[in-house]
Amino acid sequence: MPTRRSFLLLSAGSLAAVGLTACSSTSGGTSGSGGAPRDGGTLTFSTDVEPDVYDPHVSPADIVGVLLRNVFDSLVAQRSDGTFEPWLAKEWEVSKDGKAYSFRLREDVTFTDGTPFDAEAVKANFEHVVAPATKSQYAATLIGPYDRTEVTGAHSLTVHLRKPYASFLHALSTTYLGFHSPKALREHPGELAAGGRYSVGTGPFTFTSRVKGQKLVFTRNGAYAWTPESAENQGPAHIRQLVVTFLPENATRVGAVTSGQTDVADFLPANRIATLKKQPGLSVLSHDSPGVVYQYFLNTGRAPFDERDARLAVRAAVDTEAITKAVFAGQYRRAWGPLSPSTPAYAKSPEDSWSYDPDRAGELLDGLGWTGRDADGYRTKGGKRFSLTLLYVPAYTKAERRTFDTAVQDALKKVGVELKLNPLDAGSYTPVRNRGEYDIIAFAWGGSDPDLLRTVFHSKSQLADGGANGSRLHDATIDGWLDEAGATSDPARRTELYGKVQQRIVAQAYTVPAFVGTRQLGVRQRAHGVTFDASAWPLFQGAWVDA
Amino acid sequence: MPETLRLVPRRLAAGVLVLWGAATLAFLALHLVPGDVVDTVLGPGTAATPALREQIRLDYGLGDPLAVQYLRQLADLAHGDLGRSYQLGLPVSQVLEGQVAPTVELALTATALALLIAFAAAVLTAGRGRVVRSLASGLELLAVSVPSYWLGILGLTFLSYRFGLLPAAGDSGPAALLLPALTLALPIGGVLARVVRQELDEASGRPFALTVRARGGTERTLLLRHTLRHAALPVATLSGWIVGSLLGGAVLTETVFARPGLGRVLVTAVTSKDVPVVTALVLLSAAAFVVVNLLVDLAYPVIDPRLRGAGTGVAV
Repeated sequence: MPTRRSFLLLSAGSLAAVGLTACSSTSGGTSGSGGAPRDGGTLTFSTDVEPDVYDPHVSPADIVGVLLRNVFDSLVAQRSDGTFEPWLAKEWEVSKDGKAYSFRLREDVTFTDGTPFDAEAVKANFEHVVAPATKSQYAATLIGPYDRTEVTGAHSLTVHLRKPYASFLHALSTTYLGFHSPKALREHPGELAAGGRYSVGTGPFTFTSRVKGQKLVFTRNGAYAWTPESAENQGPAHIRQLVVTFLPENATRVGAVTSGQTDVADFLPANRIATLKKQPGLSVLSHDSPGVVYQYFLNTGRAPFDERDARLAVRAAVDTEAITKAVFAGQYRRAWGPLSPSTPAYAKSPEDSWSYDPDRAGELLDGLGWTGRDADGYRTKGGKRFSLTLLYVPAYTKAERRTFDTAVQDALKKVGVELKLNPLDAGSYTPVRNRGEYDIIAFAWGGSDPDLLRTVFHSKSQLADGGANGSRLHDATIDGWLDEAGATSDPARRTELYGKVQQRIVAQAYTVPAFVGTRQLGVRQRAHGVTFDASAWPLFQGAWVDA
Repeated sequence: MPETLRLVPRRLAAGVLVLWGAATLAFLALHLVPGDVVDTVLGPGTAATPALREQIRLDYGLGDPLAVQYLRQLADLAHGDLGRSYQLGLPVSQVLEGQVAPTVELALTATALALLIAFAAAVLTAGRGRVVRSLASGLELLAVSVPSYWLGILGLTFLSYRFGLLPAAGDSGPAALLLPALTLALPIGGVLARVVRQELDEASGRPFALTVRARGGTERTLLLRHTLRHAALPVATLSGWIVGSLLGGAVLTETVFARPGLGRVLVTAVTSKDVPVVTALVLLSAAAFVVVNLLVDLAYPVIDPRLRGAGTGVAV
């Protein structure tokens, strides 16, 4: 008999993916070649959880960015190497002070409801993003120090920022700053969250229908002729229809793709990859997700992690490599620093700069005076146990991450450190976390912009202020580099500065990096041309299917 | 049966009280558990600025005293306004629209299957030898104890993926309904079968059974016209429990089989403290209980003639 508790547990697993924020990605990778693209047919894509809100200006969810990429285009596109190319904007210019971005738009673009795409449409959308009533949970942060849009002609405009913001082009390239038809903004402001026919963009597909909790249907936009230059398919989509289904259970989703009931299955569980790769008629596409990797943020705002040796000791006590291998069945790589290797400006130097060394961990702890032992074998100092607390929200924590946390708990116990895993519900978690009443929190934050480091490590990005500074860091050196990187438009200098930030984070052991997330898709033989964008999100504009 | 019908308005009035109680409990439960609604709505993964929190608080009136929020909600409900979902940003009626029918469909099919399983199992095994009965009893116990989501995954693995007999997921017609309904029905059928068999065994030893046999009635006549009727009575009494099991089971079944429906809506709404949606669902289930109980009360005299014309009716 299903009890209430059992369904909530189950839901915890299935909901885990939906809550955590934005983006994830790397570059390259296409599904099976297989001759010339064929027009027509339906491709079915199955992912895990349906988004709550279908307005990219509001939702912070990764999946919204993935699905609505089919409907909404951006001003610029990010290439796989991290640089930017024209898309709905033909060209752009950045003022000397970095505070004004002038765009010239394409003149041949129309929304699928017939409304022409012009400077006024851009302005209306940016104003919608920043309007308090929109209650944007991500786009408004992404658009940064946006001040106003000045329309300088039917197809030209200048966006004024309050201060320089080097990540502005990246922000513009995401689905979250895509464009609703001004007509939809005007006529259905209250229904944009519903998706379906209310989501009207300029993209390769129209959002034909949505059956809540079950499936979405996207239909090819035959007039589409404004892909970014780097796209393989320079024209309308090949497939006539893209059907998206939501299968929250891993077993169901894997079963659906192995039995041919779906063409592409998202989020294959790591422990099934080896078997699935051997399955005839099926291939596995994987792509490292860029961004901030899953890592343990050590609270530097209070004892014991205000001392560097304590942080180094804990990091040396955890065999990240072995745990990653065990938890993800050898499918994922361990991480060396705060960023995933597929993130632009990733620094290689932290690799191999630290290692698993429980003896050294012991020495460091001895040096800090934690020399006593209590009845349970934990270290003590002055009669007090070395005990740490990790806060987490079960409903938003994937099972494999919890397994990872437990393995870390075991590793720490071996060096005499107690780690308490403290589950809280979302409502209780946030205030406790924002007050800094924890030793460790752990999360990953996807995105293909190295400026994520600002969100996660700048002293002004504290959790209570809408940032994600999990280590509660106040490091003036890091702040200085991040500020300079955010204001400079010289790509080489930015890369150098972000590299320094990464090195310092590793040298100071502000976090214990865990593993590099990987998006793995199961693709049936009949489906071709599914690619990944810069965020490791699947793209369907160039996809085609065998008859 | 005018006496019985007379109780309808009274029961309906009581039903309104039940609904009010349900709405109040849901409101209290959601607001009294620790934690800020705004934090829960946003979830732990968003980096929300203080300005965004303030805007949400303002828009949903979460800054007002609880009593004010409670009265406002009751007033809205009394006007038939279910409010706007915090999480989905849409009117609750729009959120539930299209989700009621699939759940009702699933629940009705599952009930029919459960009754079929229960009566078939009981009729085939009642009064048989010990081996048959222990075997049946064991199977029923298994059906009751096995977690239904596991049963569902097992069914999917073999019937859908391995042999391709049934579609796996979604809501694409009667074939797609069979597997989820069966998953939901088995545990309920297991419990009912035990109840029915026991009742059949007991009834066949009663004096009226002897009378029927003495009149020369066959065992079949005895079963169909007399003892089954006896067995139907406790099943009717259990219908409240059945409705509860169906609602609880729908959550799991809908998730495993990726069916649309109220169960899935409920899980998301509870996890994210989406007060208006949870309240609407609580009201809906309370209304279902009220209606089912009323129907059962009306059905008692039909099933059991002894209850007819007993003045106030309905004693059970």
